[in-house]
Amino acid sequence: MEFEMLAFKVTFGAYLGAAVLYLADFWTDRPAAARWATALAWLGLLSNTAALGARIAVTGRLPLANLYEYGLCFAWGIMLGYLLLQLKIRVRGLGVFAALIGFLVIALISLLPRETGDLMPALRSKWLTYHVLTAIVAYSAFALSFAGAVLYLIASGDSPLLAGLRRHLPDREFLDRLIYRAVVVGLPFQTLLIITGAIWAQYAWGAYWSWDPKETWSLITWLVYAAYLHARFVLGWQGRPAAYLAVAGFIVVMFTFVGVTFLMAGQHSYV
Amino acid sequence: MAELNFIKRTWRLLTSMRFGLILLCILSAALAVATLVPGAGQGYGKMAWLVQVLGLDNIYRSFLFRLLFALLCVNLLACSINRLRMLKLTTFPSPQQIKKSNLEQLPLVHRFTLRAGDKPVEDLLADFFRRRRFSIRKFHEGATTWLYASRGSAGPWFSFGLHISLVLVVAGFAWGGVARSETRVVLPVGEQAEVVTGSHQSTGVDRFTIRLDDFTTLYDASGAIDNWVSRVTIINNGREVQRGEVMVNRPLNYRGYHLYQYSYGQALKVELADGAREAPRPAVLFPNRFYRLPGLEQYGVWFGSWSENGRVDYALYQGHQQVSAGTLTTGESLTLPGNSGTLHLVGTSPFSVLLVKYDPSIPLVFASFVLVSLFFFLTLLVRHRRYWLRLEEADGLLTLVMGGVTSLHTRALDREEFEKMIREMEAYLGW
Repeated sequence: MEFEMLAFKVTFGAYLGAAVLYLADFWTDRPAAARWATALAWLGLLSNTAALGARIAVTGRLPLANLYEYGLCFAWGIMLGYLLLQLKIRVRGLGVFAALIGFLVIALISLLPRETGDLMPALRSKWLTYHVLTAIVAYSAFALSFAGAVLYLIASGDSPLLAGLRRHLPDREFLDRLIYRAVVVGLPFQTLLIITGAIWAQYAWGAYWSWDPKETWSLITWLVYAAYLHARFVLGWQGRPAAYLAVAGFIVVMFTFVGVTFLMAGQHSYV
Repeated sequence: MAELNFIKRTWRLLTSMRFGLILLCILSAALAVATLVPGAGQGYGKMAWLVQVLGLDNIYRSFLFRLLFALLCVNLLACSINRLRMLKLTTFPSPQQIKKSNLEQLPLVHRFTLRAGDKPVEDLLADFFRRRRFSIRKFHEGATTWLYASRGSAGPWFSFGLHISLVLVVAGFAWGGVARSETRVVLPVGEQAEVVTGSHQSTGVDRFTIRLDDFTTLYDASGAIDNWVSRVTIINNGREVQRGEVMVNRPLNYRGYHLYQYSYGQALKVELADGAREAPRPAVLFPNRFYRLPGLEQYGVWFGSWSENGRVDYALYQGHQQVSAGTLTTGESLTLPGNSGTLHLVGTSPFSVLLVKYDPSIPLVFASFVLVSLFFFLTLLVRHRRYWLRLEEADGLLTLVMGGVTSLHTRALDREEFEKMIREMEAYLGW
């Protein structure tokens, strides 16, 4: 536990440092800051991986049992997705949001109980693994689409306050395509997330759908991103309207992840 | 005539993807509101009448909610049917489609002019596309040759399959809502109970008996509870027809009836003696229930759950008034007021609560889940790409016009791919 705690603290600091340095690069155009930020992001990812590994070693199972463990995985997924993308193509400004979301998730779960409690029998199912792993991929992809959408809104806005930032951003068409592709990756996994949860619920409780608040909000998330894709297909929505919809989608994702857990009682209240 | 127009307008609305998009937004908003409305039995204050009228006390079963889902399904079906003709044309194009008369008006067009040589350009072009896994169809008309290159023509069919599968999921859900039946059976070890579930079918298995042979708790290596196991025997018409285990995450299937491990506990074995009788009467009492004592109806008793330290909380009532409360352990007795009788706690016996469920829609829903997952990935992985080429020879010059279409959502990507294709084609043909 001590090693996990140390790894957790390093992750916390590294993601925060990466977010600040990415912001410094974004705001003041200092490539050296971006290089240090990327190094810190990699360090954060490594320590995040170490924290997850330590938990696996202690519990002998995948760390997918409560919001603390799931948050560790979520932050890990976001940073891994961002850094892999960064290896392929560098998108200035994207790191600010990826590192910031990763940091905020880590900061949030630092407030939660982190005991390695025993899994209740209903959670001892292979479907839990599929359910949460698909959630990590889906939510990480949606986080990247959100980051792309915010960058697009900055790039296409006319606020003089952000004029300095606009110069460093990639062209809008690229950002628009980035948002679209992230949603295209995220939505099938969101579908799998809902389906694996439904199958698991059928085996565990005899009801594949029971309008539990988390279930309902994950369906809302699915509907919002389905609306995003159809708005593109049917109305040819691109640019700002599509970016706003992607931002709205991620707000729904975060409410499903955090808000529902704390504000609404249901089968998913494993804090 | 007016009637016909109305039908046409309605059909046009139902088959409109804009309508589907609006429905998606309304449904999202309705679901969000639904999670905020308190469930049935909650106080609604002055808004109670509105809640009742709109059926919001059970919002997911309300008429408005069902209507939204029904409209979305109708829209999905209508849009899919509407697409069928287009799908057929794009998959099996007629010579008229291959011979694209408006080639120059396509969103993506490129024109080459070159001197006619010895090389058969038509074959080279066909070879170029085949190497890129395009299928080629040709059409000759005088000195003009038309080529139609298509790749991923199954893509739109996958999208069609995805939308139909989604309708099947909702249809299965609706069917389950009507045909599903369930009941809970509380069984102490060694006892049996007849299960009567209304499957809405006269299959002869609507009545059967479940006997709980054993109930155990399984622990993992660290001592934590791993699972609970109810070993049961199913008896039908006096014959033992199936034996099996019911565990959390592992329901037992008996001819479409699924038995789920729902709950468990310790039932209390008691003996009730009243002052007038000599022989005490045995009884089994379940926790967290209120019992009137037989023969001493003015008294009632409530027992809590059996605790791990071997004690149980009780509350004794006379009429509707609690007269005493405390804890009991095995071997102890509870004396009723005025020595009118005693309740002796003999011991405990494990019991199991099984949920018996019949839902004929499950195979349909699960099969639809598989199809939705499969078609979703295939839809996104397989993109239909089509190019039209017109090759004309006149005065020793060859003119090649190549055109392509773009989708609204992938315009930039389509253009990029088209330009790349042109560059590769030029390199391949040595132009």
